[in-house]
Amino acid sequence: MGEKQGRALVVGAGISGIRSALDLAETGCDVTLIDAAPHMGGVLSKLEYQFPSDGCGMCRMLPMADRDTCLQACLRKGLVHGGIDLMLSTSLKGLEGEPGKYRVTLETEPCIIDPNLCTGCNRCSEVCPVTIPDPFNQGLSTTKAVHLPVPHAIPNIYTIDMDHCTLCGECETVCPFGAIYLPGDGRLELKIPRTLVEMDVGAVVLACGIDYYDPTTGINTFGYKELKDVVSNIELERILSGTGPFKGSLERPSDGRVPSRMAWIQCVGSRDLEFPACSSVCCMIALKEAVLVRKRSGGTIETVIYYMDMRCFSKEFEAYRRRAENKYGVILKRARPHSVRHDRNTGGLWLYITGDSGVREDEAFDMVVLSLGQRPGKSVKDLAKITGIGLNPLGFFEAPLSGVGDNTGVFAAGSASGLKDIGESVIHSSSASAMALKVIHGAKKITDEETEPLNGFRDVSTQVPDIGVVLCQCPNGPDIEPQVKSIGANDVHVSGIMAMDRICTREGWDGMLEALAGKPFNRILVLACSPQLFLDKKAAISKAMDLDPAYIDFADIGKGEPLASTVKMGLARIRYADRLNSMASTMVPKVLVVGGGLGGMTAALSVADSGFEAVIVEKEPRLGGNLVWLDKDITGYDFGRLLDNTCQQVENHPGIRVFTNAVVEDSRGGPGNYTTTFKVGGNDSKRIGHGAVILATGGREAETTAYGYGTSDAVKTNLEVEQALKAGTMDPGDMNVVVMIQCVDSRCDTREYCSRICCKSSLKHALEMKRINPDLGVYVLYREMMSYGFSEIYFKEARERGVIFIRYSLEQKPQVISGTDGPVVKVHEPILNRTMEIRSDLVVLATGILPSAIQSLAALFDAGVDDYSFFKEADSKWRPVDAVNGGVFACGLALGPRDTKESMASARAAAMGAVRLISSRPAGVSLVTAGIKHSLCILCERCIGSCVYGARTLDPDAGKIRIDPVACQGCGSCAAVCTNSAAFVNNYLDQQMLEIIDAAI
Amino acid sequence: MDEMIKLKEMLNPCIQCGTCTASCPNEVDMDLVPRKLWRMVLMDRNEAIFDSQTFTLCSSCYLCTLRCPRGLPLTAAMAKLKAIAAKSDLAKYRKSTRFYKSFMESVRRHGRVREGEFMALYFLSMKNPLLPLSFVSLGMQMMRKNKVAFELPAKPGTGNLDRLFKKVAEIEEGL
Repeated sequence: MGEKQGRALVVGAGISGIRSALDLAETGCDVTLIDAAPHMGGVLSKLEYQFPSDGCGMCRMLPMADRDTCLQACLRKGLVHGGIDLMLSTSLKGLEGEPGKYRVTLETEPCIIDPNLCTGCNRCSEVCPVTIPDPFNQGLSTTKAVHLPVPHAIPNIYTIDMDHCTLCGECETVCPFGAIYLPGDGRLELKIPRTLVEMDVGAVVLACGIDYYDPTTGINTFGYKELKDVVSNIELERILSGTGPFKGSLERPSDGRVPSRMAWIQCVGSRDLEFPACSSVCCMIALKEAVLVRKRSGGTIETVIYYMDMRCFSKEFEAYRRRAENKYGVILKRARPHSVRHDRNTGGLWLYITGDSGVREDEAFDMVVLSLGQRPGKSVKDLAKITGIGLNPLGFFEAPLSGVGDNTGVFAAGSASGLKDIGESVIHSSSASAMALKVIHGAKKITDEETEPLNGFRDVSTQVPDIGVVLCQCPNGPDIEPQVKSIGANDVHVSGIMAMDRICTREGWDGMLEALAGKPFNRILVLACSPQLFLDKKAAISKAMDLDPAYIDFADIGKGEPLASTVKMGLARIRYADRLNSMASTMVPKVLVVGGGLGGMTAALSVADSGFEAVIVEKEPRLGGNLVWLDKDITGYDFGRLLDNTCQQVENHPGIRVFTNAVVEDSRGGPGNYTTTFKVGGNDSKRIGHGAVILATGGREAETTAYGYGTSDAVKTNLEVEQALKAGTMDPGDMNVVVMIQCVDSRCDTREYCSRICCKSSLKHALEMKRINPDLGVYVLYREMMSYGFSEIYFKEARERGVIFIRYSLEQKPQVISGTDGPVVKVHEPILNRTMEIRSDLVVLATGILPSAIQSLAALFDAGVDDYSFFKEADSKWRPVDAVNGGVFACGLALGPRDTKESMASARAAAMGAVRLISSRPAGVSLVTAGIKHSLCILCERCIGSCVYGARTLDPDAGKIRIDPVACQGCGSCAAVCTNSAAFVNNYLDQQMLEIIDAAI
Repeated sequence: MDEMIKLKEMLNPCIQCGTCTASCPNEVDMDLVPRKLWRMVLMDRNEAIFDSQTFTLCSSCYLCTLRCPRGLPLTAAMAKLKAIAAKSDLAKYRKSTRFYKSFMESVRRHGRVREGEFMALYFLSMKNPLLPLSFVSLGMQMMRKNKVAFELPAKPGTGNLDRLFKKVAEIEEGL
């Protein structure tokens, strides 16, 4: 954790909220993370598999620097971080003040079950007589009125569904810990006062997510909830889950039979009259689900997805779609079924469809999955009222393009401003936290408060282990003291055993601290239940005993494992506990930004606004990159103004230095401490030290020779049209027909990915031309219109204004033939099944985006590029802007195609990542870090090759392997490949592990 | 044709999803399925449109209108095509347009349809002396069941519903 900043409030503890909370906590803010639900995780707690990896990976969001501040465990279960106060069943009720100095009012639902006392023993649920549909499984299975909201969560506190509870009192009497306080008889008395808390915060991040469309609120032609085998996509996720209603086996809800044919219907509640926008992620979700079903069933279940446009617009998604079709045999059909009907004779479900040819292609299925569209979250309206953030016409938070000059300290993160996939949510959350950090940092009072001294504990590293065992004696559990005492008596290192009464209670805990204070033990083992929650308590023991937390450990005796082995394993582990004494090198509080386009400038501003120095190295003579030629975006936002504003801010910011005409030459070092040389103006070599680097090298419009480009002036690219419209050299009033061809050289074998922004650009140009000349004939030849999210509205508008959209396929590409009065475009019209010839005045080609060549630059910093030569992120979902080693970040087009708004978000996210790293000030090396015994090392360098984080290097002068303790994440690959046991992981030593295994068996 | 431009503007938002076709109970008998028909309207293929029987087969069940994801008034669009065909008195559709006209004329005169008169008006308007022969078999059957009676057309003159028809004509004029 870094230098102390102010406090931030994060509303919503789903993926986005967790990301924002971690961002702010890692940069030294105190964070209060609240969620209206009694558990954290949001919708992700119900999902197990994410595209494109078909797995999870949420733990990759855990801090990489100063790892000991955070519980290193599955994040789907829960988040335990020293700097984050989690308040569940809590919502924001009031906000007053100004950015940097807000006073917020939080309201917590009354606790019927005391979370501090509940141990999750399940006895209440066993006796509860009320059975209810399980909300966790979307009602596909049942649970009791008193139940676990999420089976895998930690802390796992039972909750009571008061809408169904009959107040019979059974649970209250059976609870061994007295954790349940049912209100008195009669429902009217159920008005336990809600707890109101007021606190001061500098900024607020709203990550309250979204809701899903409920088909039963509409005309429901698909029979959702009427026909049992028509399920929503989230219900299917639950059915596929091991904790789901059928324990992970794929069955039809109606009769438990394995379906043989499944259909997905896309755009249910999206792109229709009620909700004219696209929900952006359902196409990929349907593909993923179909792939999972195909994989699970060994290809025996036929899967058909009925779609309008398959919107696989992110970098790797088109490849995923191809894999789904070609490798897994998922069938995609472009059609829009209007209803589902039940076949009484066969029990099947009929879909009524017309194929492209116009012939009816009705089909029967066993199970139908509805891809439900997004709706604004329930709390969005209230939060907008409280915080004053605007809502767009569809009821989502307005996400202003620039974030510049908006006088607010409240920022929307993740899906709250429109549904996004996990990767985008993570980016937009980090972007929101970067803006929040700016406000908090700006409002920071300079205090003389001394920060706590580092490593000020008594030095016990050379002492013989002298273990003190604290035993939490549960009054309701068996008396375990004698057994533990006898184990202790047989272990020479144990010198004291103290049985305490319930350390889970305040009194018990204080009593333990009192008993431990001043004791000479140099290792402490606490035997208790749910010890993973004791992270902050470790610090309290450490303070009371003046002992490094490295020497304090917990063993879980509440899980029902044999007590003897648990205790012996704990003893074996604590005996070898140690902290490596090699100090981490200090973080250089400076960030190098390569590239001075919109992304680079935004990233630099974000870094500088957080109180660190940013250095921009731009190879061109001026800043601006692609923004220089862009005119305006589809909403009419003026890019010229954005460019001027941003350049001005960069030039005037005291924390930013700009070098133009400069090229990076070489770099050494690792995360936290790089030394980089760059050449300015061709000969002047400069050297700077920096802690992190952001690659904002951008991209460019792809060149092409297709469709007669280069042979005729009437064939232009999107860029040329944008420039001509901006400069006024092109007058749509002089033209009769314009043809736009999408996906030129894109989404094909030679260039697999979708460039994502061309459809929006073409729509923008089409609308602009139609505005100037309403009689102009505009034809857009497309394969799928990637007008995802709210840009779907412009797709609709273009149609309403008379733009004609003609779909073509890779097999039947359009042809451009030069004619006497302008090019003639020949294209096959699939609906009419005829080839059309369109004589046109202008043909516009959407040629897509290519990245700048960054392979060698990335390699300088130990980062890489992907199959398409964009920056290779560590994980497209959970670490979407950083390289594996944690010190290199990328944003904007260098990362992959994205529009200006998304580029700015990724830039702030990259800056946030860099600030997270350089503001961390490790209090020593993290406990689980690799080391090396030089006496055993034969310099075979296997460990260097095995380290994915680039933490190990050979020091040729000393003839030794060096380990960068900041980069090392303690994964243990080096220890596994080392033939001599020279490479080891601290706290996971060979001898220690063997003894633990010994104790276990 | 102005009317066709109006129709095109009405149908511009169409996304060619085919929901109309999949919903249509008469689609099997149509030479151009509704989806194709609407596409032709957008592509200004007026000749092909008025070469097809599709819109005369529309039974105004409104399923397509109900289900159209863009909320387009497709049944009204079909009616509009019928109206254009009637107004322009296109030879191809005379059978049905004059059939309708004769029916309404009889209604205008009496406030209800008189089958015999209606058919007589129809035969007269078609100016085809052989046409009545093709209805002989159907006519005999219906007469046997007292569904129709021999009846000569009444004098045109004023009818019971004159005021109503005038009003309708006025409204249509204003459209």
